[in-house]
Amino acid sequence: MAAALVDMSERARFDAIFEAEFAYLWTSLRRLGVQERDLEDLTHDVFLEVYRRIGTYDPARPIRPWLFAFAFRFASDYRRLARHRREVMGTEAEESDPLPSADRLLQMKQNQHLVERAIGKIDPDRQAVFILHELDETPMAEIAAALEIPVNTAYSRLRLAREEFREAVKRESRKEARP
Amino acid sequence: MIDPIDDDLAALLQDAKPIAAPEEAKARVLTRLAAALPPPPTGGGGSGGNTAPSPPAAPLAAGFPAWALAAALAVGAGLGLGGSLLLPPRERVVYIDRPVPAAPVTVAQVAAQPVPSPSGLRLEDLPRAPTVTPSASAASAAHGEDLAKERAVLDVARSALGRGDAANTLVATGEHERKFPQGALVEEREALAIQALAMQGQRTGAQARADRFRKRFPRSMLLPAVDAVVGSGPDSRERDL
Repeated sequence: MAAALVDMSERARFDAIFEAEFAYLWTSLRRLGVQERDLEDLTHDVFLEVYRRIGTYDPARPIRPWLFAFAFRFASDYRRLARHRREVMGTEAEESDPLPSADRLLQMKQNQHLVERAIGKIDPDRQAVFILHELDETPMAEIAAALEIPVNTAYSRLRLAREEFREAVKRESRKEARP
Repeated sequence: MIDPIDDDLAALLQDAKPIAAPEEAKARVLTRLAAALPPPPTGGGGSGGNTAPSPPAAPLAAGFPAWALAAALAVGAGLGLGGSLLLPPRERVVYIDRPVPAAPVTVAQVAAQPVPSPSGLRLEDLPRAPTVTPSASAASAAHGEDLAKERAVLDVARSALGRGDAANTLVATGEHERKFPQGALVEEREALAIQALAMQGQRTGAQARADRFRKRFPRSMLLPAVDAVVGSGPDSRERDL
């Protein structure tokens, strides 16, 4: 994706990013705790900001960490200003191949809800590193660059985030097991 | 510098990796952006060329109705934030509250249309996300409780199906249908019921329910599993009989 953006005008680049990465931004905002009913507005706002800042994007770098940084900032403001309570509502997931059974798909959906609830318990700064590394599989150097933090800080946040995530999964699983 | 995450957590995270967004939402955001952003410069938008070419002076891109763009403009005007900048003088736009069809439209196609007075528009003037009220949060809490109850009923159905107990699967899905006719997990309930009917050999019933499922949830992630049980489409019944 990034390589294909090199020779484009800024507007064409924005169009291509919107087309290719809408679902990524949407999913990232959801993972960052934006409620379903607000996702559309927030995604719209993030893309407006992306458009405004498109000139600062370096096509030599991967696009997703750069986009995630916008999502992270908007989601942080959203949580801070409105004190939105994190909740997990209906979510959609891509079909995977080979086709799992309906039973397995339901389990996947429940796991997705569990992961999103547990991520919601992680400190926001660590949350960003955790999502980028564990879900987006972004290299740590890119994460550090996108979030404008030292690499060692990124590692440190990831370690702590994993601990928080592990504990949160245990707690949430216990809650689910309760009748 | 850091070890991989524990296997059990890695497996859990794997299920949360898929990336998806509703096409309808994408189309709506696209419409709003097209109204808010300046049109691409005429005479070509760079050498990349991976966006659709701009149709000169066409009313609107094929498959993208005029009322959708009008609706987006009216939303901006209705919020009173920069509405006067978005709308041309003396043009009256009527808001039509209908869902935007998920048409395969690119930003370039929509943005190439004559959006009124975009130049000079400041991004700060554009509509912002609505503020969430406390009553909305309370409604969300109630929703969360209902979701947990729904899940509990479907867990019973799911474990029955896992045991090969189709009868009790249908009892549990029936209970869900009575208690949560418009619940958040209707899609899952229907998929389980279809599997149970097929397991019982009720081919016609499974097929009919699967047909309704396809119409109601055309992009469901459970659709492949439903198709695998009863065939790949409404025509499969005739084909198989």
